[in-house]
Amino acid sequence: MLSRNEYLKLPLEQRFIPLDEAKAARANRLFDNLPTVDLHTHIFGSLHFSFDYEQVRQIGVTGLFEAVPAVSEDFDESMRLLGTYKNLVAHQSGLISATRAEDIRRAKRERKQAVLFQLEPQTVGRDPNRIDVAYGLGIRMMLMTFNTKNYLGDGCSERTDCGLSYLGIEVVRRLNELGVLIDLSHCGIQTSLDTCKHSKAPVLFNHTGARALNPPCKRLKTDEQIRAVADTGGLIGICAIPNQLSRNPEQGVEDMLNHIEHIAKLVGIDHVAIGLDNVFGDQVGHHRQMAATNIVNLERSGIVLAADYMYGIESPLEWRNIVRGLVSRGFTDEEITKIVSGNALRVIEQVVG
Amino acid sequence: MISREQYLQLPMEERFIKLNPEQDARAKELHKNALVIDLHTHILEDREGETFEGNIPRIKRSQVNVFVEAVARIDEDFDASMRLLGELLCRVEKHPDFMPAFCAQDFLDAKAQGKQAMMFQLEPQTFGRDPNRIEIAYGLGIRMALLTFNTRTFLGDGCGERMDEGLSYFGCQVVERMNDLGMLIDLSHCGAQTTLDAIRLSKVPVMCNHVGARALYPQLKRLKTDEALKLLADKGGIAGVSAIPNQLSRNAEQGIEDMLNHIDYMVNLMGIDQVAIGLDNVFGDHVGFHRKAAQTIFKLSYIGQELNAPYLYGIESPEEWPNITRGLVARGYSDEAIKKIIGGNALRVIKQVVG
Repeated sequence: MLSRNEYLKLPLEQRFIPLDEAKAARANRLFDNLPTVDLHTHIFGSLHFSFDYEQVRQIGVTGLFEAVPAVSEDFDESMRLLGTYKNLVAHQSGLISATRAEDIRRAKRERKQAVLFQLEPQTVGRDPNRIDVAYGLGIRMMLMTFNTKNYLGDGCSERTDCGLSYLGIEVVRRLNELGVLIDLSHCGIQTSLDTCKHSKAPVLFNHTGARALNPPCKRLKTDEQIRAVADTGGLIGICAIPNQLSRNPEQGVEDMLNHIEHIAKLVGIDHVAIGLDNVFGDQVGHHRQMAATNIVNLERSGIVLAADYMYGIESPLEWRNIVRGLVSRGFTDEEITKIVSGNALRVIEQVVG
Repeated sequence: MISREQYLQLPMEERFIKLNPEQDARAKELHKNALVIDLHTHILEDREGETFEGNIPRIKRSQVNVFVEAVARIDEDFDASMRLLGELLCRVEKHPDFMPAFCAQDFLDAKAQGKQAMMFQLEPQTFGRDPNRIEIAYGLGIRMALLTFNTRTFLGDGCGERMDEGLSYFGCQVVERMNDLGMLIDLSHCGAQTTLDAIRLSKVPVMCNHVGARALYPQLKRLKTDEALKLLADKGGIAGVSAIPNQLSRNAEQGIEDMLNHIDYMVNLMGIDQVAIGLDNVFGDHVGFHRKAAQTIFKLSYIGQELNAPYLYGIESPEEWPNITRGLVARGYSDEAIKKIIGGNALRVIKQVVG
């Protein structure tokens, strides 16, 4: 097995799943012609700010739902970060500052990329008016909790597993009213189930996987949770986060495909989407750093850093390989269309506009 | 002279300048067909018992296509100003008759769709000493900002300051950064030297978006000198004439005719292409607001203001906006000239600087 450094020296084609000529052509045609949506990106960095438009362009994905990572959970800081990002988008002619599904379709027509914004973590604190403020400034998706307890509910790595608080229910109502997507990726089980029950609009796990395939990892979702989200008409976005989809020393795009297959089988193809949550840099190194800050407690999350990288999907630049993988696993064109953007566009349009 | 309360009982036609039927038809036609821009307003915030929702019919009666709303955090707290911006943007985004505007094309789209366009500016500016905040504010939707309010900032001196110094090094840096980003510089509240420095230094046109001509009211430091207005015009900038009571005249009776006097004077001094409108009036009691504010941080004596008139007849609130067009017709301006003043000039400069 190659080290991460050796892997990154490989040209992109050698990192990709091998396909015969006809299948490779089909995968390329699908990836190049369809709009694509990644429900959870960090093109401006996560722990540290960075932005390189040329790299973003090379991702080749049409709709990027960027997470604004104010790890302090300070509301004003999250809005300042949002402003910094939106300023860069506004001054880059290849990018569209997007707030609705039509912006993503327009980006595809104009050969541009649409950037939408979500809060991760959620920084509403105990003031629901901040939801209006965040909406006004451009936020169209929001987590209910990050990994630990907040005023709304419990995170997935928390000692307890409580449901939504009264404020949490009030926040769900306000998010529904305004048309902000609710993401439960980092929430505990009961908070997730409660939110599904109280939300009048579809909700999401926008960057996750199936807990059935890696039971100790609390960041992944039980079959019950996945069914609850699907019952709202919502989506499960499959991530490419190393050491969350598997506990093997060797992990990669095949693990992603395993999770996609499990969830498609469990709740149907209409609820599967993609939310990679990967970065241009060293994701495992990033997790080691995060663990030291106690924001992501690996032990409490049931995560072991067994692998150093994800072969075949280590960076967003390898997005095309997901489509190759779906082709290799025998998904039809119609199914692939739904997974790479059709489902996401449907839910964004329905909830946000 | 009637009191403010009596004045507000009058039906709109009686508040308006009298015109003959031919002029009346011409004024109505012009106001309806032109792209009308008010460069400085406060219509979105709820204040003193006035609510945005309640005022919507009055906003519509103004028949103004584009308002530039001042995001007004008098404490100059940056984060609070961005929160307020978000709250106001949310209102605009969620109201079916309104839309936020970030460039000149948005104005044209709004007019075509019959919507009310809202652009946003910072008044006062809240950059403190951190130039990154200019980018953040731009990213979140701000397209104009003052360099100072009435008192000194890290950038320069306000018009109500004890001293009248020019821009600081940081002020020069902010001018350059705003130029690069495409954020319009407003000098309405700056001191005389800061105003001249910024006009000279800016690579693109700047504006004083809610002012009057100092020559017509020499004691009031909030108004702009001939020197400043001429330099502003030479650099392609514009001056927006305000409808702030007791800032256009010292008379006990003031109104639309005073606004028109300032417009006439500025057109004569600067040329027809450099004059615009930025009322800065409110739906509530503006003089009452000044009286209250004078008890707190705004000493009227600092800028040389006196509260002689209780209101402005003919232009006391934004809903009387069509009266400006009527006044310009009454004063003999051509259709072409009127269209420039009520929106064309503002559109040109915003298109050039903001995009």
